[in-house]
Amino acid sequence: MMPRKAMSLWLLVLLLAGLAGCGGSSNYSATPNPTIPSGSSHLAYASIPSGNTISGFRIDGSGNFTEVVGSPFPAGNSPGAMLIHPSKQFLYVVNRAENTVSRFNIDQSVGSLTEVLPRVATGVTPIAMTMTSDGGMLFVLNQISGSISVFSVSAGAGALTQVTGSPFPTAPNPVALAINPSGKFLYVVNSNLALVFTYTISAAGLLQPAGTPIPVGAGPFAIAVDPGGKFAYVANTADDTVSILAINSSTGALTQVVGSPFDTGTGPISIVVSTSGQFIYIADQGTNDITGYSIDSTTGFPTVITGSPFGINTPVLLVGDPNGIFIYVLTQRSVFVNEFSIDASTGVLTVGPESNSLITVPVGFAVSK
Amino acid sequence: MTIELALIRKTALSLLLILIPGFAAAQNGVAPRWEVFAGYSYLRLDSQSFGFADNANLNGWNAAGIFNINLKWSATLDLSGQYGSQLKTFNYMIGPQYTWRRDKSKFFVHGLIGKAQDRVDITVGTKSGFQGVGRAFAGGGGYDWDWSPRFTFRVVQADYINSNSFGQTQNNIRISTGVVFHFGQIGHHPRL
Repeated sequence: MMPRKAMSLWLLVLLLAGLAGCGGSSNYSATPNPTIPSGSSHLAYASIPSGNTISGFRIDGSGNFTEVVGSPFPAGNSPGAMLIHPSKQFLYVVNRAENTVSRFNIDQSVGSLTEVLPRVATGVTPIAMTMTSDGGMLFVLNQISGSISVFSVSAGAGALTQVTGSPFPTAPNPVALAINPSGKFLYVVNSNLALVFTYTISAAGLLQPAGTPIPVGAGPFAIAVDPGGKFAYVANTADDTVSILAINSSTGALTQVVGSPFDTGTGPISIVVSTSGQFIYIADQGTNDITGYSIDSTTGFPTVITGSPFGINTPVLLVGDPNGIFIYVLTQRSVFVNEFSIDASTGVLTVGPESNSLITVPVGFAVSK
Repeated sequence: MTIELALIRKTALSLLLILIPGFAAAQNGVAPRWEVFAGYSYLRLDSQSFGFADNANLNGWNAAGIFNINLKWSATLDLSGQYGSQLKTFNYMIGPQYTWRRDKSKFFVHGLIGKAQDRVDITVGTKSGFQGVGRAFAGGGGYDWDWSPRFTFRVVQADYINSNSFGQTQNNIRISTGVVFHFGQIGHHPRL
């Protein structure tokens, strides 16, 4: 048998080697509470207007939701549309009943939110937001006052400063807006007039109407632009169609593609484009499903995805995953955020996990990259 | 979890392969009645289970009081606390311990049950700090080497701790090392 001292020494060596091996093969540092490599998980937030709160989730690579510590977080009065800054450090939320925008700092490690006061004033009833891809400019659509508030965003702190001339007037009762990925053009949908208005965006954030508004189907309610900036898509709620518009990359002008508008289910109310730009999905509130189209990258002509429409009860808002793996669905009655995974090659949607139960029905949702 | 489990498996296997044959052959005839352990502790906390982006590496302390019923069986009260910049975690557990003794070496395994307490230091609105408290159970063991009649060096103690806080289940790994103090005596030296 091994001598006692030698055995102890050998044991120590083995244990130290085991510990060292563990440290070496791990991706994690040995420092306490490390800052996170984002890995495959990302943060998401849902606005709950009835409780004036925002719920926070961590979503793992398989789409499973985990509510973050401290959630739900207190918010402004009737929080609605929300978006996450490309840096993933800030969350912006419109407060529909107090005509403001809230800025929250996001704790990347915990996922918790801390609001930075004061809130910034908008026009009356802010209902939608979009941001330039570099996060330098924020646009808020004010439904009742018929205007667009434009804010410059400070790089380090994410602070909002209203640009000179803001808010800029639009036609009455605008309902949705989308920005071209180039950051040069903004599109605003007016539901009553069934028109899409184009605005040019100056480097300072000034908006100028560009060209003649483009007619779309009746009751347009949502608009999305593909990541390549080639096509704009408008969900026409009153005539159950989607208008597909080609974008002139120089002028931002819109032109209906041949055959547009195309059929959807009943009451299309929200639209999202996959990160590849290859697929679009339209929430059909009346027929309780999601219509999926594959888009020809040259002509913009749509082809129905196999298996479409995909069933879900009363969808009202689709939100694309910036990572291109999922789409998230808010419905009219459910206290859960529903999730579908996207087949990257076919565009087929498969039902995924749903979120933890929320206090009441959420109306806004934002996901970080 | 794979890396941590591999570590535990490797450590346990090493200990068993080397120590068991020797311990099986002969056991000491004496042992202290009481032992008190205190030392450094590392915890790999499964903080992803409650929404963190990553699991956390925490450092802190581990202490235990051991009452030796006989040469093999003991009752253990195990306390530990580990800390990070936004996280603090504490475990309060009790359970049986089985020990193999030979000369200056001791190998032990134990099963523990008790409470886990995790605290996340964030401020949300007017509330600062969020705490999750729930049950905990653990299984593990370690190796001690006698320094003197009064002191023992705990070379390593490794535990898997399953806890439940913030409504979620955590799978944690704890590794400790330190000093064990002896009090009293049970058994007797074999006659020569």
